Amino acid sequence: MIQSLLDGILTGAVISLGAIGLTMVMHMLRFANFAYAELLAIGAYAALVFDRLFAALVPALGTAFKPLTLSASLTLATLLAMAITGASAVLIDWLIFKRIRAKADALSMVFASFGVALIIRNVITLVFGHNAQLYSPDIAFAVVLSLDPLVLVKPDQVFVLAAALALMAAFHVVLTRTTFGFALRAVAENPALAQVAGVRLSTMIAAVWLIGGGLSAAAGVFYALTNHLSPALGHNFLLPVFAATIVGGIGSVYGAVLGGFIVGIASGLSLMVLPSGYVPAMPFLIILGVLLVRPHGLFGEDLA
Amino acid sequence: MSAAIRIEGMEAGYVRDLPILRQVNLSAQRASLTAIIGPNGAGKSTLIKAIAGLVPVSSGRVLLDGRDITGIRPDEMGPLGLSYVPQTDNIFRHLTIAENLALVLRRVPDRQSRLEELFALFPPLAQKLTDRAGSLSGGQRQMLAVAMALATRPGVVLMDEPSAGLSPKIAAEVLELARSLTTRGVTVLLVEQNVRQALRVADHCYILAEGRNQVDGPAAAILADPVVGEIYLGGRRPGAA
Repeated sequence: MIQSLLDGILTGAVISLGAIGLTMVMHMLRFANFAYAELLAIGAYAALVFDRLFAALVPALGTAFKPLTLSASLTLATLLAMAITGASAVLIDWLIFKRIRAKADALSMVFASFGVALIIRNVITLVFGHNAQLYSPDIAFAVVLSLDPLVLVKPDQVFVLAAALALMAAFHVVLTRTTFGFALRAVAENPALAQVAGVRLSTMIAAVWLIGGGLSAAAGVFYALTNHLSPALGHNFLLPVFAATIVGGIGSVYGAVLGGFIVGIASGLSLMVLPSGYVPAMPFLIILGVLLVRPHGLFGEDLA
Repeated sequence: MSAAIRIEGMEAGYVRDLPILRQVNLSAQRASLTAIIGPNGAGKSTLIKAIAGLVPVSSGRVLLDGRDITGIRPDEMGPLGLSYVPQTDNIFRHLTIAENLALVLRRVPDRQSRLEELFALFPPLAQKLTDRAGSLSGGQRQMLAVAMALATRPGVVLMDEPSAGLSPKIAAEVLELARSLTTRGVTVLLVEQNVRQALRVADHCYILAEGRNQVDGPAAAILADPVVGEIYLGGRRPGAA
């Protein structure tokens, strides 16, 4: 039970990071963006490329910070991947979604997002292949926290949880202590009123894509660091990230964080009673349950 | 007196080629309160939103102090001297009062002194700075909405049914607040359903119906006109059973 809970919390942290941007984008642009989770894959693979590049250019950077498998090259690569993924999200919006929302309705945007997701996934497969990859070939040994019940945790997992919480805390500070954060929250709550209050919507849309892309990239790297990379990484996180957004309430950043942990922990605990093959269905059940009981999520409001 | 804001031949609507407003003309003198009234669906709120840049204007002009501001983005209106108080959802409920005000004051150079001026004007807000705006009463919400609109020291304030959903006493206070703004040199353009109360505080009045100008004149004269009263102010139509 404790092991499942720990694993769930870790997965929840990754889902929460991915859901923060999605909830803001969905609320601001009023469409379900099925390409959003692919940003996790873009980030994870961008970090892989730069990690290898930095380690090749300066071999010393490739040395792991023991007991982690994380190295200086991967740390730098992650920061660069966050920026690149954020910029990619802005570019995708500018190239595709912005043009569609100027001419068509939200349903067209949803269909377009399916297309964008397919393109991103297939380009990644074309470039990197189907096979799973690892940032580090080093074996990460788990630490035994308890023998009865058996509880194991890898140092990388502790790092990932701490780093994810630190990123969320940093974003919380931005949201609650800066006028830029007030503007972000204002746009998330009421885009029309935010414009009247002097907030330029197009700038904030770009900022949300940039922040969402950056956080998603971190989520992708964190997942790949404790598991592996594959072109299906984004696709595998699609449902959990959507479930977290819906559980938390579309538009609520804090709801997305809480929703991420709820989905992660519920999926982790479900392993105790369900065969592992059924675990991916857990986010579906959570979505259904929330929509039946509280259609606007825990912190969300009617968008009509 | 010169017109602080002038609307010339405005056609506007939410859908292209389907205008709600047709050739609307309007002029408001500086430091005056102009009421825009009319039946439901007359286009009053659409007119206010079109002036604020929230509804596309297909033809005509909006002149603010003689400067053409037609088609300018809503976020650019504040620095030009025009503010808008929407009818509903006119504050950010999830932000505190301090955060609501900080948001609208973020580009104001003398932020602190302006904040103190606003607190002097609306003392109850100063006592609830850390409260969420959503926890305020209806009247206090309107107070915050007006404070946010005044933050950038606008010359013209557009108010869309500020008394909607308020008790008669609070509604009267909000309309008096709108009136008091004119003594500070602010020009107020007010859309109201609460017609008689609005006309009592207004200097001038425009009556809109079916997206067009119908009647305009001094508010007192319109309030006293029995024919206009019968048709537009809730009285019976002459000759009606």
